[in-house]
Amino acid sequence: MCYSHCEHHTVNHIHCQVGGVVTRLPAEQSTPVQFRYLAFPFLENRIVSVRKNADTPLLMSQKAIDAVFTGLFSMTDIRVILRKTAPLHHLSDEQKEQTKKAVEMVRKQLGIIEGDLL
Amino acid sequence: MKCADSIEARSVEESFINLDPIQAAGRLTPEAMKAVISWGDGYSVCDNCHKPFRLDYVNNPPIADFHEEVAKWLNMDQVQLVPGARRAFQEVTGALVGKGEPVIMTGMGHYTAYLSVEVVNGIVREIKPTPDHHITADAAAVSIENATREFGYAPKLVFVDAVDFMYGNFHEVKEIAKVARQYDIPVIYNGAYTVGVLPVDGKKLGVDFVVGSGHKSMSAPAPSGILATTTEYADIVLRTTRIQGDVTGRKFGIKQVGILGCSLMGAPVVGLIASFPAVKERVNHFDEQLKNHKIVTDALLSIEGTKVASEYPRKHTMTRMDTTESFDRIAQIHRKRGFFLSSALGKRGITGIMPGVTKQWKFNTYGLTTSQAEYLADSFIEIAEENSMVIG
Repeated sequence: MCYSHCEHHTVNHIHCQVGGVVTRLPAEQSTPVQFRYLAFPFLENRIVSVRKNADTPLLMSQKAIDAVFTGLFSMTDIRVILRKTAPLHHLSDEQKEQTKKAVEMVRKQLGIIEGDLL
Repeated sequence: MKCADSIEARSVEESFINLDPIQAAGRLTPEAMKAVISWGDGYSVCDNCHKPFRLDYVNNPPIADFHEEVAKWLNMDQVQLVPGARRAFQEVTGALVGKGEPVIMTGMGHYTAYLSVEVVNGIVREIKPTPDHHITADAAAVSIENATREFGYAPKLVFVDAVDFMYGNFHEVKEIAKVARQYDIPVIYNGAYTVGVLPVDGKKLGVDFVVGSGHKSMSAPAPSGILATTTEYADIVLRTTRIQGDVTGRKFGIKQVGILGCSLMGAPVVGLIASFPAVKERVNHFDEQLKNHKIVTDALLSIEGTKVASEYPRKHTMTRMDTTESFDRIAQIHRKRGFFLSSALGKRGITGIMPGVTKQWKFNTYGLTTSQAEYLADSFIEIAEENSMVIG
């Protein structure tokens, strides 16, 4: 599915809600599809029909993609705690708890990625 | 640690208390950090650009809504996103100032405001600051009157800084706008140090343009900013293209001329939008920021000979200190000379004060926690004590 008012303009997105702004995943998802359009024109009808019938294209690993972003966002939460406590990084009990939860979330996402991609 | 072949990973904010006056209120919110991770690709926000193919019509991410919300928030009629406050200045001068025409500028204005006049071959006439570094309506009236006499017509524009970058002082914006209105001169409000940290009401101020800096005060990546204006001036400054190719007959829809079409894409615009809910909320709590700032200025003022060069008591978290009679005296005899102060701060995990400077220097505590402010205050006292300075 391409909109084209200029040569670099395509539309291909799946979204989930994070932090008030919809997470963008098109490069991770759309590039293989676009390549297939170019390299294997016979696949075009199939891909278009997939996209007509579902929000998610067939040729990708949604779980792993979501896990990568969720992991990165949890790491960002840890980064924010580092900023708030610089330079000594003496964490309060609440901050320790937040960090622990974020670390657990990152671990969980790594498990999903291993399971889905490896 | 490197993040690319020749680029070190930046961890200044994670490792230090950063007092850099221009960086404090531009630090990203957690929401913006996450949005940038996801939307950092070049033309990412163009995924859902449909007819009429203009940035402020994009609904996903919610750029269209953001324009409306910012206009409402600033009590102005229309908003355009721009790559930094300076581009907003340029867009306004480009529309309103012609070659050889005068523009009134405060003597404490940012250099980019001057260059925005120069780029259209305009002429600057300054408002003289008072000895205590303020821009008054009386002084503005004198400058406008002098320029009107000199050129035979009123200046085309008045620039006024809400809070200047030199001292972090507040100026008589509302009163200056009232004077300018008597001459029918539009006023551009430079809110680089206010929009995003303090409540700003453009209509109440009586200004025609409100300019904000995303990367200076709205927790957004650079370059980003906003230009807000009235319906009256939107028609002129935010005008749409009418040009047509003579051979091909090409036209360019409703692209805006002054900013050369779509202005802000990718990380800057998404960061701006992602931070906006937090920014809208934080402007209502600037008093908390001032309390933390006071912890630090009180500590500094307890060191004998130290003065606040900015207006005092402080109304902004960016302050110019005068330590000519305190830290600079130590610099005269210290083996590290003027670098002793930044070096001593660096050892304590504090950065952002210009290395080597001990006479007058600026710092900004915006965004620090109370614990960080207390640590900073204690650090200044410790450094003074280490150097046998008198603490009052």
